Amino acid sequence: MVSHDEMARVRHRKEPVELLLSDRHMKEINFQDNVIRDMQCREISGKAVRIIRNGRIGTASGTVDTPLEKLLDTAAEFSRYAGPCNFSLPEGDGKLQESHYEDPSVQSGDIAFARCFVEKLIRQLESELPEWSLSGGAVVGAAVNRLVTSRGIDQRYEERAGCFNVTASLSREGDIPVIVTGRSTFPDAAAFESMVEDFVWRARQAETGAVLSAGEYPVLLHPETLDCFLDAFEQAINGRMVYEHVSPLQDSIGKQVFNPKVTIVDDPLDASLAGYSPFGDEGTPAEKHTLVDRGVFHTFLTNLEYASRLGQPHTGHGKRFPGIFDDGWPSGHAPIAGSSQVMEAGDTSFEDMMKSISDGVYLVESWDIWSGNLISGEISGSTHLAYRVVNGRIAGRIKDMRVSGNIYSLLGDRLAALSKERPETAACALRAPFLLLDRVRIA
Amino acid sequence: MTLQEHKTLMHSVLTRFKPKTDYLDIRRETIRALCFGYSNDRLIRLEQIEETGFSVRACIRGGWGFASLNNPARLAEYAGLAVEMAGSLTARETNLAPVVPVRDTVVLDIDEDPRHVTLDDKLALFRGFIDTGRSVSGDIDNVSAGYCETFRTICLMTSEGTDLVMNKMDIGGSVAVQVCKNSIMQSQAVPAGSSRDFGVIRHMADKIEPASRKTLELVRAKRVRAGRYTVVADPVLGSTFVHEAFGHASEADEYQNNPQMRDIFCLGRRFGGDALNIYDSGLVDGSRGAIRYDDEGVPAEKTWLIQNGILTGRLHNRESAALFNEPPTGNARCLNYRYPPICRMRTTCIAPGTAGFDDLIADIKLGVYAVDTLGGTGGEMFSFDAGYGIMIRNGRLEETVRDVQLSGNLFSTLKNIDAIGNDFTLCDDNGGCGKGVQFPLETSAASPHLRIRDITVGGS
Repeated sequence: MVSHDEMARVRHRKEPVELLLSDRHMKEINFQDNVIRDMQCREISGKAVRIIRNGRIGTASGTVDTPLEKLLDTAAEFSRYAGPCNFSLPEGDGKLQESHYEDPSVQSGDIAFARCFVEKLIRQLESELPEWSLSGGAVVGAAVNRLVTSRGIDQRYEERAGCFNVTASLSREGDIPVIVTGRSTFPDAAAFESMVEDFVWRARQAETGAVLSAGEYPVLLHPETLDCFLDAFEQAINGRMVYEHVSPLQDSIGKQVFNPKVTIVDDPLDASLAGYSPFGDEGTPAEKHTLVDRGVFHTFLTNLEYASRLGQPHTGHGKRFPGIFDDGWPSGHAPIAGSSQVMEAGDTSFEDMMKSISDGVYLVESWDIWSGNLISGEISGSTHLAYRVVNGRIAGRIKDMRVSGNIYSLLGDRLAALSKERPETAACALRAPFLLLDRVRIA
Repeated sequence: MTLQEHKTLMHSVLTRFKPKTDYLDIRRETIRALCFGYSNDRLIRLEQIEETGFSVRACIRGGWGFASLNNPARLAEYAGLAVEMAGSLTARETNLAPVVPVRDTVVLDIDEDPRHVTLDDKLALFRGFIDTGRSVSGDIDNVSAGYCETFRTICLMTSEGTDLVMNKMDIGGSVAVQVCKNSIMQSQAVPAGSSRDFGVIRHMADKIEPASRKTLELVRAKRVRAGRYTVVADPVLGSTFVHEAFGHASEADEYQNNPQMRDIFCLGRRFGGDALNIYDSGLVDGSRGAIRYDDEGVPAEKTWLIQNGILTGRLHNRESAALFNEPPTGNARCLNYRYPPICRMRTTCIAPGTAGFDDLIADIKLGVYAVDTLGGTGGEMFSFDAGYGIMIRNGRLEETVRDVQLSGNLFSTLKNIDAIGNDFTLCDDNGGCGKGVQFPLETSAASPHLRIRDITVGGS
C-alpha cells in the first residue's frame, strides 16, 4: 500500500485535495470445455488525485510508484482547462473511518477453495448434462480502498469476496443453445443444489425447439433479464442525463411513472448484493434511496457536481473505486452510477404465474437489450434464452426472435403481477421478483 | 527504474524460473494515456494515466499459470506464484506451435504525432467540432465528444529466447450529436481511429455537419416496420457484421478442445457463396488492428478465413495452432499486462466483390438499406443496431427510417449474402473489441456494401 507519508502530505495541504488509493489482489481459476485451463493472480495498485485550484477541478491517476507530487502537478495543470467548480469537498473530522466486509462464503481468500468449488461444479453439471460443454471461472479477491482528503475525510474500506460464472453450450448443427449463470458469492450446499437444479432444468428445456409466430404475448420475465430491461431506467435517473435534458423523467419527481405494484430502492448497504459500498466514493455518506415507491418516482441519482448543478441534495452516487473484481484503478473523476437495486416482491407465486399463461413466453436471458430511444423508453433485444409456454407448461425453446417494448409501459399498464419469490441470480447487483407482463411484442 | 533496469530484472527472474517450466514469458508494459471528453461546451473529463506493469505466464504440462502486478519489487514472488499455479494443473502435455525466437525493436512510424499537438490545440479542435455540430440548428440538444491517445512500450522476454520491444500508438476520437423531439431521441456519431496518424482526427471535421443534419432528419422519420427483409448493409455495418458475427467465431481458442464445434468449423466446409472472401490481417498499415508481432512474439500476417465461400483458416495463438495442427497466425493478443494473450482479431475484412451499389439494390422490391452502426453483439446469434435505414422500394432508395436493429443466425446469414459490392472501405472507429473481460482491444474491420437476403429487422 502507499506510504503514510503521502497521505499525511494530502491531509496537511491547504487547498482542497483528495487522494484515492486502491490495492487489490485477485486469484482466479478458469475452465473451458469441462477442463480446468488456467489459474491467474493479479495485483493492481493504483492511486488518483482530485484537486480544486483557483475554483477549478483537475484530476490525475497512476500506479503505486507514481510520485504523489507528479500526480498533483498534472492535476493542477489540467485544472486550468476545467470550468468553474460548483461544489465543495465534504468536511470530515480527520478521524479514520473504517469498514470491513468479508463474504462468509470465501474461506481465507485461498484459490484452493475456488478450485474445489469449480471441480465440484464441473463434476455435478457434467453428470447431469453429458452432452453439454461447460466453461467458466471462479475468482476470490481482496481489496483495500482508501480516500484521504485535505478536508478531514479519511475512509478505509477492506473487502474480501468471491464470485463465479458458468456457461453451458450444446454444440450442434445450426442451433447452439447457451445457458449462463453465476453468483457474486459462493453458495452454501443447499443453494448450490438449488442453483444446479435450476441450471440443469434450463438446459434440458432448451434441448427441444419450439416455434412462435410474431405477435403480442404474455411474458414471464426472469429477474436476470429484468436487469437488462432496467438499463433504460437507470440511464434516465442519472443526474447528468437530467441536467442535459435527455431524461424522460426530467419533470417526473412525485409522479406516477410505473405500475403501483413497483417499488425500487437503491441500496448501497445491502452486503449480500454486488453494489455494496459502506462509504460514498466522494467522502459522502452511503445511504439507501427509494427511487420508485408504489410506482411514484422519487429521486435522481447524483454526485457532488450534478447535485449542485440540479440544486438537489447529493445522493452519494459518484463512483470512483473499481469493483473488487474489476480491471482498472480509482479515478479522480466521479461519474454517477447506481449501487444495488432492490425491487419489492409481489404476492403471486412463480408457479401460479406460469400456470396463468395459456400461450406465451418465459424469457430468461436477453443480454443485448438496447435502448435506442432513451427519452421514450423504447427497448429491444434478442431472445437469447426464451421458452414457449403453452397451458402453463414449457413447450420448448424459441430462438431467432426479438422482444421489444417500452420500459414505462412494460412496468406500467402491462405489468400484471410480481412474484413472491426473489431468486438468487447472476444479476449480482439486483434483487427482484419474476414479472408477468401482458401483451409484449415478440417478432 | 528504466527499461534497461527492468529488462535486467526480467532476465534474472526468467533465468531463475525457466528450468521449472515448459514455457515461460515475462512482459513489461508502460502505458501513457491522455483522454478528455466534452458535453456541449463543458469539459467533463480530462485525465492523464501513466502506469507500468508486469505479467508472467508459465506453462507446465499444458497447465497455465498467469500473474500480473504493478510493483517490480514483487516480480520474482509473482513469477513463483505463476509457476506454482501452472504446476498444480497437470492437465496434459505442453503443446505450442514452434516459432523462431525474435530479437527486435519495433519503433513508432507516425505521420502526424499527437504528442506534437499541444493539449490546448487538441481541446480547441474538439470545441470546434462541437460548435460545428451545434451550429446546424437550435434543435440540437447535445453534442458530445471524446478523445483518447495511448502510447505503449511493451517488452516481451520468453524462455525460448524472444527478446522483443514494441512501441505502439493508438488514438480514437468521436463526436456524437443528439436530438430529442416529441419523445423521440436520435443520435448520430462521427468516430475515427488510427495507429499512426493524428490527421484522421482532424478529418472528422467534414463529417460533423452532415451528422447533425441526419440526426435532425431522423427525429422526424418513422421507425422501420419490423419484419424480414433483404438488407443492403453499408461498409460500416458490413464491418460490424464481419467482426461480430464471423470474426469471433474464427477465434480458435473458443473451441480448441470441443470436438463438436471443431466439426462445425472444419476447414473445407462451405459457409457462403462463391463471392464471399474474408480475411484477418495485422498488416493493414495505419489501422487500429495493425501489429508487427502479436503478444506471443509471433509475426503478424494476412490470414484467409473464407475463400470462395469455403472455410480455409482461423485465428490462432500458439497453443490453438498446435492443437489444430495448423500454423500460428499472430493473433495472440492481450488487452494489457493484466491479462494473458488469447485469440483476437486484428483488422477483419470482407474482400471486395464486383457489384456496384445500383446493382445491389436494383432487383429489391422491398428492402432496407442499413447505414452505419451504433454497436452490436455476436455469437451464433448476432444483433446489431444500424445508425439508420433507408427503405428500398422497387430498386430505389425511398424514405429514411430510424431504430433499425438487425439480428440473425451466423450460419444462415453468411449463406444469405448474395452480392458483394466493389467499394471496399476500411472502418476505423474509436471503440474496441470485447472478449470475456478483455475490453476494449483496438481492432479494425473493413467491408464493401453487402446484400443479405431474409434478415430479421426489429422496429415498430
